[in-house]
Amino acid sequence: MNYKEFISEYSSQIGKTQKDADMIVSAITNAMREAFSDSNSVSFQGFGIFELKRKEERIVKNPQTQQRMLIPPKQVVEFKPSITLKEQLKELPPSE
Amino acid sequence: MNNEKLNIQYLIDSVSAQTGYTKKETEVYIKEFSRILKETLLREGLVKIKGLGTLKLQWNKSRKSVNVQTGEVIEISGHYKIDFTPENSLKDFANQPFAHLDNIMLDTSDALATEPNAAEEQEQINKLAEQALEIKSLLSDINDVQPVNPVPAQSEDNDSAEHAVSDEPVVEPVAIPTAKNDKEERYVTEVASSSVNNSNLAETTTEETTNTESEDRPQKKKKRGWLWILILIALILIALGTYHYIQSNSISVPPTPASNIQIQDDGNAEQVTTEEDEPIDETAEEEMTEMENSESYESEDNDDICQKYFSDFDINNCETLYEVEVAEGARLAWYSTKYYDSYQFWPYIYAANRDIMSSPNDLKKGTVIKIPKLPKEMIDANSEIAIQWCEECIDKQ
Repeated sequence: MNYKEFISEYSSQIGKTQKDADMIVSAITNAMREAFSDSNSVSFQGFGIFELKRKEERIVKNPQTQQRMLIPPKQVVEFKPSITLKEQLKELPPSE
Repeated sequence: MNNEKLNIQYLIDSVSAQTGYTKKETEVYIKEFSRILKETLLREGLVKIKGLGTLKLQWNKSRKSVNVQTGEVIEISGHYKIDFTPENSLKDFANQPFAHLDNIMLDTSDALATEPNAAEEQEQINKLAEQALEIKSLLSDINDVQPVNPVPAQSEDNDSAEHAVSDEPVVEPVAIPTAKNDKEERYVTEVASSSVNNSNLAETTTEETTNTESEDRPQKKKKRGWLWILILIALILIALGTYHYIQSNSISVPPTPASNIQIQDDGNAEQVTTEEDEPIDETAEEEMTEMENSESYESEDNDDICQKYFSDFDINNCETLYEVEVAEGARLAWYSTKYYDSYQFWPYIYAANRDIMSSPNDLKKGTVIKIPKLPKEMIDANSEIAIQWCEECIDKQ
């Protein structure tokens, strides 16, 4: 489902126009970004947590050029589903 | 605010501030947002949120694994997993603290370059270890091959003898005590198996083992041991013989030059030309003949003549009787005994070699020293004059 479809569903559920819905979602994502830039994680109860993880620096070697490179440390956002969500995943019909 | 887990309250505050809705409203909106997000994800399998990223459902097929505690085979059933891919802009926000850092290209001379070197070193160590193992196996094969090697000895004596000389100490203790068939068979099998590794030794032994019969082996083995002992004794005898020969040779040399000179002087007054052709020598030689003629007169005149003769004799300019390479532990007195028949006349040798000897004991193995050719009178142990003169010679040094 792309973004537009999501907004239309969301807007209908909360009883707002799509424009307003879009505005609300944008506000939510902005808030999340702010949190991430401050190295804070954001959790949604019953859904999951968008947590920040630190990756240490490492040395990599280009196998072709044999050039060695130092990749600096960085922070990334990872999503960790909540326990309830995991349970619901189990109940899904198998893909095969 | 660092590394905190912010809950919905934080979002409510932020969103209501941005949108202007009340906090109660935003709480509802946010909770709905979360719910719908979840539902659509579970239903559709993929949801994309602008400004955030993409949430995807991932199906992992069932696979076989092992229970780490019991060790029994286990099946991990197929299941879904959620995959979140953040948007690029979001990544930048997340990496804010480290945004200034960049990839660094490293040179080989970098301090961190020890890692590949360690790997190379490890390879080298492995290679050396392999080589060491090969050498070890070769050595063990050689040791195993020894006992069976002697078997053909009678027919191939010359070749095996050469091997035997160098390998004797290894062979003897092994060959003599054992003579059982079982052990030999084992040696044979080991030899046969190691024939691939060994070159010459293995080839000869495999040929030999096929030729020889098992019954003859014990007897031949015993004979082999005795054969080595005999060869060793023979070598010792040869060494002794050559040593004696050398000794006898060296002793026979000194007298002949003296006799030669006598004959020549009798023939004509001229002297045999040598490297050290000095007028003094000629006079010494002529005087020598006179001396010998008058030797029969044992009178004081004789002594006077001797004195005069001795004083004219220059030790530094006399002929060299012999040039000897100093042996281990040699002494001047020993050489004196050998060439002059008396140890007393060692000072003459010392005098003749002052240029290479700083003290009478300074005889180093391998140095070549000159044994001066002294006339008979000077090295006559019975002559008091000769002894006196020698003592004076010592004082002069």
